[in-house]
Amino acid sequence: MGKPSVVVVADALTGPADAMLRLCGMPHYPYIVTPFPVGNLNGDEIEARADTMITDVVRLLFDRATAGPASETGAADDQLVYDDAFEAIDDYTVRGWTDGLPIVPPTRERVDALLRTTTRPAHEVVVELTTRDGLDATVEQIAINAAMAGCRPAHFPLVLATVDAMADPRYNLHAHTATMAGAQQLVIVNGPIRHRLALQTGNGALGPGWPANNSIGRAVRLVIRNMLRSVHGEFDRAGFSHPGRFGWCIAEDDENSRWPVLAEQGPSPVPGDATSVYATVWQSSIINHDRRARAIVDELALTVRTACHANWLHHDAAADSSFYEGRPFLFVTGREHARVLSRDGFADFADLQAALYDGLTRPDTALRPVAIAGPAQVHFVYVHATGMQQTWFFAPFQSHNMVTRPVPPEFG
Amino acid sequence: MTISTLRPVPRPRASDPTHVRAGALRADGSYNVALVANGKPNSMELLDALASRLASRVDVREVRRYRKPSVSVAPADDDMAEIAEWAHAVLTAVGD
Repeated sequence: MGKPSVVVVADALTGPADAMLRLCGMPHYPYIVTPFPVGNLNGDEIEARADTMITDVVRLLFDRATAGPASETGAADDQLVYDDAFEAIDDYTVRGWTDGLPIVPPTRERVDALLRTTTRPAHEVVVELTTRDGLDATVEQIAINAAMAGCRPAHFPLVLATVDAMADPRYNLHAHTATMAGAQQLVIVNGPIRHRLALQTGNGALGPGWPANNSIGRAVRLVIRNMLRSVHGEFDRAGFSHPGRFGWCIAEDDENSRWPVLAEQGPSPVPGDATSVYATVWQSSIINHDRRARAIVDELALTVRTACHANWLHHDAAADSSFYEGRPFLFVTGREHARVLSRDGFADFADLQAALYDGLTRPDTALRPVAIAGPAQVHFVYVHATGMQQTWFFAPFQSHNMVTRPVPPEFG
Repeated sequence: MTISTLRPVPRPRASDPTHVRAGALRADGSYNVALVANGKPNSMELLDALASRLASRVDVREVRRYRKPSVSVAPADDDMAEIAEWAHAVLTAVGD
């Protein structure tokens, strides 16, 4: 733009700021650092803080000496050669190209096997983050990371469709892969593809032990880490982070669900094979043995409302966002709760959405309303988890909308 | 037997000539200043405090305030176009 500018960054966020400057080839661009946080200062403290900065503001506007040399742009080989697979795994780990666990070495043969499942050209850009100066990932680069995650060729169309969904601006991928909240990118699969890929939809469906679920979820996260640079020291600024960030892909038990499956709950239903992406910051498990549907709905609402009250998703703080109207609220429920809910008044999904919305927002003397725009933002996923009378609430990252995409059939 | 593997991260970038630091303001000028708040709490309040102090040291002709549509997205295209057309200098805060 060519305008002399002064940027103020809190000291907790200098890592992403420096990463951005390196990306732009201006690693020595000066900016003002102020102690974190700024958001909780009172008026007098804001004025005092400004007093500490104004000299630097003037200096940066009127004394703009040429910045230091641009970042190094040395050559990098696209192919690396090792004595054996173990050496490759060790080197990828040392280079920071893994999530901390061993990877499958992405040989040309493995990557080509994945690429043969799609008609899309290898060099096609699938996701691009303009807010990271155009960092992107092509079909081939996604295949490389999917191979590293342990994906088989049949998994790749689903991985690719999932990255397509993440690229939708409504999903706001940049924000929740850079937030201090350490958001997790949850992938939810519907349609017959669940059976073809042996995705787990029953007991244990949210956890480890399922090669398709776990490698597909991991592939998505490796793309985010490696290609979009959401790693600590660059764009990842998660304070605590979360084990769901190794990868989190779940599949709904479509056949046993009492309600429309997730991909068909929105205003633009996607029938058949579909993948949905949701960004979540924390989860609550609600275990309740009541046999009355209304009691369970009230308990779900109370739990969500209590947690949201304490975690920024209450109306006072979270309604002011361009993502408010579509902000989704996702529940994952198992067999027992689904039975009670559907048999005792909530066979119609719209009734269940309305009841929960009411529970989340009606006036209360102690708890502020949840920042949810309407009943349509309540979503349910059914997994055939049996025995425990349990539902999980996946709290949304506040600035995102859920996105669903069809999964094309495997080519060839 | 050796194995050959593929690189899973972006290639280092070549220098981009469009990324050049803007020149300094002249001491004897009169300036339009754009304040761009990212929407985090107190971001505009901090910028207002800086702008008032700047005006006591520099000839500030006019200050306009802009706020991003959301904390986590880029400024609106219309705002960026106006800033490019109108402003002589920009203050932005806060990465918080």
